[in-house]
Amino acid sequence: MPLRDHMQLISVDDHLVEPPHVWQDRLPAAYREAGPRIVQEKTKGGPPADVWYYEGRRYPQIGLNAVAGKRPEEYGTEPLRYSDMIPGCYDPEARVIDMDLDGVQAAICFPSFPRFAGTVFLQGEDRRLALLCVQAWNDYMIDEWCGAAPERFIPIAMMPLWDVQACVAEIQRVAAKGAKAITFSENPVGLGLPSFHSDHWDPVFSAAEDADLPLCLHFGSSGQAPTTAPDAPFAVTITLFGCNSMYAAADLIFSPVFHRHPRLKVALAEGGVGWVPYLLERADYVWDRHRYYQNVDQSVPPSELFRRHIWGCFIDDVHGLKNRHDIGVDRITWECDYPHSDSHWPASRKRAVEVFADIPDDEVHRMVEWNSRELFHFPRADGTTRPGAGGSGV
Amino acid sequence: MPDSNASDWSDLDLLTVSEAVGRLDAEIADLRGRLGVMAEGVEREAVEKRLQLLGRARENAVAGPKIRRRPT
Repeated sequence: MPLRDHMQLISVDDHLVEPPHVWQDRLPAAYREAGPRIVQEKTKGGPPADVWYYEGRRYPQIGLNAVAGKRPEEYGTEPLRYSDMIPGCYDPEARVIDMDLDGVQAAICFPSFPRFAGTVFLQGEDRRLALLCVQAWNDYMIDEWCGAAPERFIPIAMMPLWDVQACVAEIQRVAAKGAKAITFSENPVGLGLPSFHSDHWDPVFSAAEDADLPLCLHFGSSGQAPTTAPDAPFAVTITLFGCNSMYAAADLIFSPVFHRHPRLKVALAEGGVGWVPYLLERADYVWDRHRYYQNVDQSVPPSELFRRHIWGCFIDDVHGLKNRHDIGVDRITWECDYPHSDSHWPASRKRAVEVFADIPDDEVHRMVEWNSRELFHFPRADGTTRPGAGGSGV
Repeated sequence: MPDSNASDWSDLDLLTVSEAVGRLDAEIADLRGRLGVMAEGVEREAVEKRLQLLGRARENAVAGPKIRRRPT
């Protein structure tokens, strides 16, 4: 009976779909027309579709995948409007009901229309408006979404990635408002921004360290999907998606980031953890033999950097759990991925019972709850963030 | 620069109402079947409570969106 009733499931990777009022309620009147707004468009023979418009650009996906990877004749089987979605996607009170049903206590919810790291606002021609949009989403996340159930939602904030100093100011602003995490791109290069190997992001990472806000890197947030051949079935890309997390981890542990920012924490969102032991073995092998002639830190093996700074998560990962001691039990967290159809909702807890069947209680409790509470400074209602700290959480 | 027609969601479809209702109906049917052979007691009460929650979630799912399209 490894997943016991007193163990609370914390999902470090869920998603919300923004309702139409997020920006229209918060932007100054002069910016509302250009800011993100939902327009109902006619469709052939069906009810109107809900489509985002931002600075006149049309964004046909309101937080869901209408077309990617599908043939045109399959279009239309995916939701195109709010009425096609379950209310828990966009309504925090309905979300709490769905979480209760699923046996999930708390969750981090990534953005949808702005993309996982808010990178839609990189497209903003009016940078003043783009910054207001980032701030509006963060205010919605902290005040309205998480405010609806503060013990159930872990506030995460996006950054104005085009302006380092604005990022620093936003980190300080949202930290003061109660944010617990920052959503950041797994690879800024894919967005036309400087890499982790430059010193460009140092002020941002210093601000994150000072505020003790982990960076959450969701796979896909670089805007790049793993591909092999133009005519390969989409199954290849789906299968390889976790490689984005591998790339991000390898990039970071061979970069100067953790040497310059020894208190920085990074949480990889999606991608599983089963690959971690192999990647670290390989990275140390490469470091051992090839570090001397490259711009690579000579003092700390990459595996050590990973274990100090990086957390991973999983939904189903048999190999990851088998290898949990090589990864580090204190570096593994759990995710639900609601409301993606990949999730096990409404049976996530039932599935977790099966997944953790052969794991000792204390390790299960670490992975499903305590690691996340410690990482994100998100205590139980009785104030405990770690086992043995008193209260009813042990 | 990100493409406005692209999405980070890629392969990650959302649960549609119909898919969610299908999952809820399957769970409800399973629990009702178990309830039929369960004796009175704590475990039965837990199943009954879960059935209530499932029913509420199903109602929410089919009720249609309660969204506000105009700013306050």
